[in-house]
Amino acid sequence: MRVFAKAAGWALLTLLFCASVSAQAEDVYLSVPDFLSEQYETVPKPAMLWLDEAQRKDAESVSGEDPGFRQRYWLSDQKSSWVINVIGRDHPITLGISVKDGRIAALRVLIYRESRGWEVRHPFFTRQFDQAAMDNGKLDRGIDNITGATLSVNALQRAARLALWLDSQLPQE
Amino acid sequence: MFKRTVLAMAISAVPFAAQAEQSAEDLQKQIDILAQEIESLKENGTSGSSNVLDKLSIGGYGEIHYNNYTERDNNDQIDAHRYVLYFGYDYNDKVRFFSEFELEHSLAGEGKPGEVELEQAYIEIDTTANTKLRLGQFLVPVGILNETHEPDTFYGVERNNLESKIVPATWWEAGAMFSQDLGGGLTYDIAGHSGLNMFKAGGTPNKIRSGRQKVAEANGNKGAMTGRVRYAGIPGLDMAASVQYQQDVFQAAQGFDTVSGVLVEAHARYSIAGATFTIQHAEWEFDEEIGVEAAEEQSGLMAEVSYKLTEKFGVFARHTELDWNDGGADLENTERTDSTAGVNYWIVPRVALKADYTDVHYDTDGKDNDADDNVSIGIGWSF
Repeated sequence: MRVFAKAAGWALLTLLFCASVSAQAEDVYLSVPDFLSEQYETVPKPAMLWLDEAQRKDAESVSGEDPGFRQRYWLSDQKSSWVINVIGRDHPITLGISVKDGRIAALRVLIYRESRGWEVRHPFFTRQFDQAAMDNGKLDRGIDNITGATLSVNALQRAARLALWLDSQLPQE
Repeated sequence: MFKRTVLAMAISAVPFAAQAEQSAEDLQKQIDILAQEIESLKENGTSGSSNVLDKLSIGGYGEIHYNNYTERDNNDQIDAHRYVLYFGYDYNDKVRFFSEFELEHSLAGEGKPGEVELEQAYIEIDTTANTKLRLGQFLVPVGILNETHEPDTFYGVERNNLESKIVPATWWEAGAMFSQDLGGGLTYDIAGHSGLNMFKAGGTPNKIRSGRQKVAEANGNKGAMTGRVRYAGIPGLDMAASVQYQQDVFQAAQGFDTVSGVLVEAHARYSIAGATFTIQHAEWEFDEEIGVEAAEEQSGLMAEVSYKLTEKFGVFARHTELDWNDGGADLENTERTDSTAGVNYWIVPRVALKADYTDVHYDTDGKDNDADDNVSIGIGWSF
């Protein structure tokens, strides 16, 4: 036992040292300004989309998510961008989603707080949403699952449907 | 004169214009603050963003089973197999608590069939954006079902026997686990934790499953370490391999030699267009000091194919081969093959009705080959 405790103790101390050294790090993978800079050459000023009760119900029936009574968005070059929070298993996932011509132009995980399913943050997963559109109330493509992260994968699909719905509510120029 | 008047008007208009702009900004800010307050009141019934309920998460799962043994006239069973509640609390964005509290088989206590169990209770720290440290009582990072076993996430009423008898899921230990996401779908975990205790009076080994001490005043003379590497870098693919080293599964029992053990588990799962293919292998190797030659090597192999015909309805077939020790001084291990086929019907995404048939075949002398054939029906949920 002594030998094991010693080894485990050293291992733990090493880990805690690593933890203390890197405690300054953020678990934000992409900030909102960085996401917007990625989407626009010149980031437009944000605007607000106000939604009445009927619209909110419609959004929920399409996406499974209640958008609340207002959503901030950015619009330029016919491309709208949204910052959307959805619950994965029991924590919110913050996403930046851009929509152009009724299709997802980009879906990025900005903040991921769940203990499992880290893989959904990565481009190899999120690029499945590129150019996805709505088709009969669903996304027009299947999104491959990640074992152990089904709820996060489902949450990203709900957010994608919500972003497409929100874009459809913008006044047509 | 006219020029001067215009100039005077222009000069005097400047502060008003600035004031108007300032007012619009102030107005927007006020609207934002009021909107946030209204949202907070609607959601929580309180104003402000530091509501304790925002930090608390509650969830759970459960499953109720009916097992009908087709070749027996008795021992059919209806069982509220598991009822579980999760409680979590976020201290801040980087430090959180998580726990899982379980009642098995409905009734626990003296002479009752069930148990009340604390399956998980740990503090998790986001040490960096890509690393986590888990301290406390957690699920061992081995296998498919051990960490993700909500009944709506897998096929079949009962969990497969490989992850019951070889990987003794649900399997939790106490210690520390460090995890890192290396990017591109590659992650690893390394954990130091409490060990199994398979010692039985007389020095014969207990079953692996019975060796779980469940962190219940557990014998801590000897410990264990587990490492896992996982790759999920292609959508639909999940591959993982775990290795565990047990210092002494007899926990330094007086008068007995050390019995170290190594578990190797590997699995691959790939989903494409509604079909999922899974293959899994797990193998234990114990020192010969375990005292029963047959128990030195115990292993299992599982292969499963499933297909979701619709979003709500899926079918599956599973083949499991086991070679494991029942405990005691048997000269040979139990060799068993399970062939299972069945259906899952998701009433809603997190509520599943299940039905299956399992044919059990024993390659061991003295075992009734048909005794364990069964039809099972179940309902499972998580929230």
